[in-house]
Amino acid sequence: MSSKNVFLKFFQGNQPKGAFGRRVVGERGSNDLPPGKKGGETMTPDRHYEHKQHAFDSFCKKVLKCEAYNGYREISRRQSREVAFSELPEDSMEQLASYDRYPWEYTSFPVGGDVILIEDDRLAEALNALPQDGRDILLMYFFLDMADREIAKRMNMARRTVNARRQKAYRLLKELMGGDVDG
Amino acid sequence: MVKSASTWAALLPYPIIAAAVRGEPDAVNTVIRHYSGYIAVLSTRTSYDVHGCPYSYVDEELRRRLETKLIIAILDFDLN
Repeated sequence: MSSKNVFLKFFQGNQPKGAFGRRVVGERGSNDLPPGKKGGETMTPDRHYEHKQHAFDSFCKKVLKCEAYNGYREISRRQSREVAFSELPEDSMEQLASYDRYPWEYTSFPVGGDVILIEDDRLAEALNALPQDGRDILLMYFFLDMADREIAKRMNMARRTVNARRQKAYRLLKELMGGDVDG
Repeated sequence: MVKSASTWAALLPYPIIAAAVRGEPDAVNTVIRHYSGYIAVLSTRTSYDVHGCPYSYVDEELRRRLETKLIIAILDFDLN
């Protein structure tokens, strides 16, 4: 006997029966499907319902898990943006603060339909000392941000008149407040 | 640990699933109850108190959010 034959004999004898030539189809068995079948033909409606039960279970769990993930992501995003009130920096605190205004703290100047409140006593006194039309023009120009043309329309004057009176009032105001007139 | 019968019967019966997908309130409630445990686990958060000791609690806001999402999602489930 040649050594080759001995090996062959040994090799064949050690194999489990029928290990070759079989296709493993699923965990339920290794049988080949009968010819002409695709599989699943023997599945009863019960099996379909069972499949749907499992599918529904998996579906719900996935939905919940993904939604929980979304929720936690939202929470962590909020936490990264949120700052405790006590840890706010000074300047952003100032934005939140509101100061009470009392009528004796400011002087009010009615101009047309608007009322302008001026807190600075020195400025208010000087404005009071100005003639009426010059004061109105100044207030409209500086506090209501109106252009000369708009002021002219409201006061029934020519635009140039408004300009001239504004400059005159401005110079006078400067003088009253002790500023350098030509500055 | 011996699992209770309800734990073993982990799957909802098919008729209830079908009814829930159609949007029947009783069936939807059954589904919500069935998954309430999982929802509670998912919405459990751990926080630390002033001494740094961890304690976990169920975030009610998150729990309601998950329940709402589940109700909406059930209606979209494809039964066929």
